[in-house]
Amino acid sequence: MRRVARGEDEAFAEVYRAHQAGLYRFALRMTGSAWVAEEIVQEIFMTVLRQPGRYDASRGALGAYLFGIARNRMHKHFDRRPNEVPLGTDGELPAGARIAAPENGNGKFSPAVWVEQKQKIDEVRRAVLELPAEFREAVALCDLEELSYEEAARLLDCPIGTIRSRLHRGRALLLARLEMLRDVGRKAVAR
Amino acid sequence: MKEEVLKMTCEEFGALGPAFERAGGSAVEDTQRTAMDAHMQSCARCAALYDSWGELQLRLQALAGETRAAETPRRVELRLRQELRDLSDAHEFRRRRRVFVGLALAAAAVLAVAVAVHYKMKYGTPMSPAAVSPAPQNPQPEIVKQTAPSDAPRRVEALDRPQPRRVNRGAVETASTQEAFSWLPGGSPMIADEASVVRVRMQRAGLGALGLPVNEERAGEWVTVELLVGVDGQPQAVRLLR
Repeated sequence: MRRVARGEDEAFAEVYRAHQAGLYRFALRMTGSAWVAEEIVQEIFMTVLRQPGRYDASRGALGAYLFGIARNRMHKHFDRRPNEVPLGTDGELPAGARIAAPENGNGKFSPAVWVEQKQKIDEVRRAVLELPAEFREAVALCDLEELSYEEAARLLDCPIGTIRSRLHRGRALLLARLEMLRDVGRKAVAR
Repeated sequence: MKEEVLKMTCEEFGALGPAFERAGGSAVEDTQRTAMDAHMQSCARCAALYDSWGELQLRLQALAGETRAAETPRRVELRLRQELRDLSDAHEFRRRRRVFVGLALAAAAVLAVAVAVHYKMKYGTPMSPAAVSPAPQNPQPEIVKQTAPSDAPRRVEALDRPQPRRVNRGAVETASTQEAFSWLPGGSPMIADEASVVRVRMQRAGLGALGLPVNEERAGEWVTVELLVGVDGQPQAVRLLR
């Protein structure tokens, strides 16, 4: 970061490439908008460029610091647009995102299965975006980014127990949103 | 083991469930996993809940897989690096400006010191007070002409009988030139009969030394005056010659 503060282009590129993908995916999964996620990542690194002295290595890793900025930016975004629920990715997938083409039992591509899978993914994406922000953060980091509880707790600057609790409640809410809890009752009766 | 299975409630199962599912069973102890399996055999609702967890997990994995390779578009990095270059340029400009201003101030200081030394060398030494000081403190009158012989001082005829009104105003006019003698502070018309007139050339500042008001802007100007000098050698009155 000292080299970045001195304006060294290569040092900045190194920092950017090490952290941009994780931050972008986190912002994308939190906001559901590729455009907003792009803006947030840009603002994060603009802050790094313009105020490099704000980062104190003794207080934590650079990744946690960048995630902190990302969370602040996202909260501002949610405050500005509290009633807006982003749907999907504005009609197009973000850079690098793709849905693997499923195959049927014969090993050939099946459009029907692909459509069904896409619908399920869209449902769960909408359900995640409707979660309260603190539960969504836990789900985004632990279930989607597949970080450990310890890593998520470090990035969100909270105890592991809090992460575990938020994740549990977030999953329960997801089940309810997807109406899978109702299916639980039906399955239980069927058994 | 049997007792543990029987003791597990639906609430305990629900509390362990997400962690159990997420980590594929590794997040909970083997005894707890066994208890959960046993509880699912005896509780259809918890077994259905477990299936739902599994389905949710699959959907979340599909969603994660959809964006697992997502990255910030390349244009963002290009914009940021351009911003970095602009900031560096601005920083360099400010640095150069500070250096330039510092050098300019240093040059100005050096110039000021040089000018001060120059003036000090040129005017600071007491080699020529008249040239330096526009108003000498104690100018010595330059005697250019003595109009009265030393052995027989010339009588000032016009002053022998000064009119009371003019004496009160402190001035006497001569008959010939119509110029007025101004009585100096302490001067006395009573000695006019024995006084002599001395013409001298002096700076106006010298008039100030005699007790007359002097315009400071013209203090260095040289003038020719006539002094009415008493027998004791002290000037009693003065008048300017045009």
